[in-house]
Amino acid sequence: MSQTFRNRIVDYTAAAVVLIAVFICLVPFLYILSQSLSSSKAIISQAVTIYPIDFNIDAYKVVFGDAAMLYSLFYTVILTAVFVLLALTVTILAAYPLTKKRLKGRSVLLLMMLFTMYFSGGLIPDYLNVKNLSLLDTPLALILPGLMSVYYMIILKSFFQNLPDSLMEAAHLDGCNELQILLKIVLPLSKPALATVSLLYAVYRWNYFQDALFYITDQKLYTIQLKLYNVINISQQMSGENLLVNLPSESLKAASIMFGTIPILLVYPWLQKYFVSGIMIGAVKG
Amino acid sequence: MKVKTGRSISISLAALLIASTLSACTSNSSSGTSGTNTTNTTPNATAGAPKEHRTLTVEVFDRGKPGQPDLNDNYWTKYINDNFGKQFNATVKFVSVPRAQEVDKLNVLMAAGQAPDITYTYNQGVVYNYVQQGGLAELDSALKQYGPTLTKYLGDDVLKYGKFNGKQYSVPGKRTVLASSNTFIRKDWLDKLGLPVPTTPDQFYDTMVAFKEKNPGNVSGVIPYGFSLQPLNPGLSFIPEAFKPSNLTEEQFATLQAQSIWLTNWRMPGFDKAVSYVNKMFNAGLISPNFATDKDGKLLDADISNGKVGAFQTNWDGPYRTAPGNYANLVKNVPGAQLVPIDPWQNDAGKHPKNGYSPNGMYIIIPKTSKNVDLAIQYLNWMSDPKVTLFLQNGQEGVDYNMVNGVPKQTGTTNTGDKMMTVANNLDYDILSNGIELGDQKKNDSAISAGYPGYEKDVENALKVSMVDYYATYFYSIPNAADAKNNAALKNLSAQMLAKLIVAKPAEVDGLYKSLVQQYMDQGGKAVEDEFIKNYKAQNNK
Repeated sequence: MSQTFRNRIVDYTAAAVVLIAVFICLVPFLYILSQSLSSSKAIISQAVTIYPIDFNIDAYKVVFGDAAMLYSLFYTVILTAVFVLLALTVTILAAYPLTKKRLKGRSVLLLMMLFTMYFSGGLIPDYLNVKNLSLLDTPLALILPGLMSVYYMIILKSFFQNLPDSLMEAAHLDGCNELQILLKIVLPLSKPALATVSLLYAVYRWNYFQDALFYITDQKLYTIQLKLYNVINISQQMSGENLLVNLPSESLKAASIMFGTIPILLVYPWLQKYFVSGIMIGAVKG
Repeated sequence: MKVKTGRSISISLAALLIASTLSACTSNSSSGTSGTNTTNTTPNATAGAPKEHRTLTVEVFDRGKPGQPDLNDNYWTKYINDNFGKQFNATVKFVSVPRAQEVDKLNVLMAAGQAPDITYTYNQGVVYNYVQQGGLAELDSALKQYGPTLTKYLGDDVLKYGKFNGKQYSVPGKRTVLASSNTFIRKDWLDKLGLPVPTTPDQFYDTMVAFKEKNPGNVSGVIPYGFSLQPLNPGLSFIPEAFKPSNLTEEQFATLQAQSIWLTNWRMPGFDKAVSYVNKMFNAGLISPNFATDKDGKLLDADISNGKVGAFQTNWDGPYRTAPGNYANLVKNVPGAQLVPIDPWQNDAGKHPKNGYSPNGMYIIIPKTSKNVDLAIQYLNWMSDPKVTLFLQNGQEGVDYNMVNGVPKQTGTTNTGDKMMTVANNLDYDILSNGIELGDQKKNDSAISAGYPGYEKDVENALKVSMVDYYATYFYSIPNAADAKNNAALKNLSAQMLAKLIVAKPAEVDGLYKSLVQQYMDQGGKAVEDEFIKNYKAQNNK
């Protein structure tokens, strides 16, 4: 009796702690959301906290009324999808062979890849490289340079290594070649790892804007984050103008942030089932 | 049904991507060919054959304004290409640079030799660096040959700001509004208490005490003097003007007030007294209690809007601006509230000196890698024609604006669509003028106030007040390398020093001031000051 009672107290306490933590994580998000739905008078007077005041959707009308914003959202969605697909392919094709002990020069290859994790050419050599490859002002400039992250490759590689060898030997005896083993045995068993790596790649591509800033000058190829960055930070460096510049209102900034954040948030629930099934696979194998 | 729409969306998305990839490829290859064209034609062009077609690249700020048109293809770029382009057989191509990251992007473009023929920035330090690294084209001969109208328009007063080590490396734009700040006070509070407008620091102090004790606005948590300490620009606004001796020598002025008055000139005579003055106000509970943590001034804006603040200093037109719209919000929250600009910072000579902006605007530079120096100067020369300036800043008469008493009044066509100006008067295309330019200061002033609908009279008055006893900071023709190196760190340190000094006990301020300034001098302040002294002497052959 007292045992269950004590358990219950522990449960409730844990639940309360988790709820508070969730709330703390949600507050900034709610703050931006309510700002985007409030009047600028309420925002300037600092009356807005986690629920909107003077509820209105004017800011969203402006954001959704901006064809360039919608265009760049769709463009970024496609760019991210293509990037994730290509990046995942390349990462798998690099990680899988590196798990095979019979691959000659395996350690040298790995070392060369690791080297790039510690040393990079720097911004300007990177820029010159992209320029000399004629990639400036093309979507490829945002895809090729970051196509494989060594870090994520190592995550995948360790996951592949932990798969039982006997499975692959069995497939081999049944007449599968290496490609078939990879496609039919290894990848289906690695869904949780693949989902994680895809999500990491997707978030990276979605949020990273520095490369777009430097490699892209054609506004049609701006990613949504670069546009967002422009809208939000414009007021911070305006000292030179000393003039009447019609700055975007706080609610418009907030609405733009919501506009750029929601799509990537939607990816997570969709991938969640793979995380769950991943846990179950582990459980069966013991 | 659902499947169908999903599929058609994915097909159209795929088509969009392919299209954008292809269009990028074509645009890339075409720019490639135009690039080779330029190199082929350069020898001819310098030999004086304007018939060869050339491409001139020009930077344009991308301010990310919702609904803005393509910055390389709109009403204004068409006008430029139809006029300048046809006349000089050139295509003007605009390269957009995000406003908030302009320096980062510029550094990369310069380092890679990819900067546009006409590049610009407001950041003087960046230009200094490029000059010292030898990255900029020298413009003296080109200006002489191709820029007669340009040279006349800017005059020596402005052009000297583009001279480094005696050579013209930059064409500075002309600033038409030199006003910096104003002190505003709640007129309705003064009236309620039957107090006069304060005209000296002592009167101002007494007024603030009266605001605190009598609380004429009947608000909880009254803040007689609203103040925020912003680490990017730490300072005391115009208060030091009142305590600076009026008889400083030119050398003292040049070396001890090398920065604007609203920054921390720790070694300027009288700055210590200004600090004590604010310290006294703080200890009497007269200034914003959270001034040190209000780093972006948003809390101050809120306090002003909510009617808690009696007086404050800000940009000369601050309250009248639509963003954040402090005055409009204040009147909504407190009907009958009235703000007026006042002039209380009287010095020992009975004057009200005000440090304003120097007459130069943005720095227009031409990278050394440019093959179109002559064409670039011709472009600027074309732009300095008053007719072109008028069009680029206002549009077409009768359509986009009407002349009322010699001042253009906008019809509103330039707020949206193809004609949208992302900044008032198109400053990012009309790069030569920073502010409306009608060729006459009086007309300019009335045109400026027309930009604040509902506050025309107030703005005209505010501009007048903020220009009483105007002066500019001393002009140096030699860059200060120590300042470029230490500026950011010293600013940061200054913000901390100022916060400590303001909250100190009044009896301890003097001692603390000395020890903190000593620390400041040791951490780079001395090197900066020494170099200013050295440069001043070199410039004046002493």
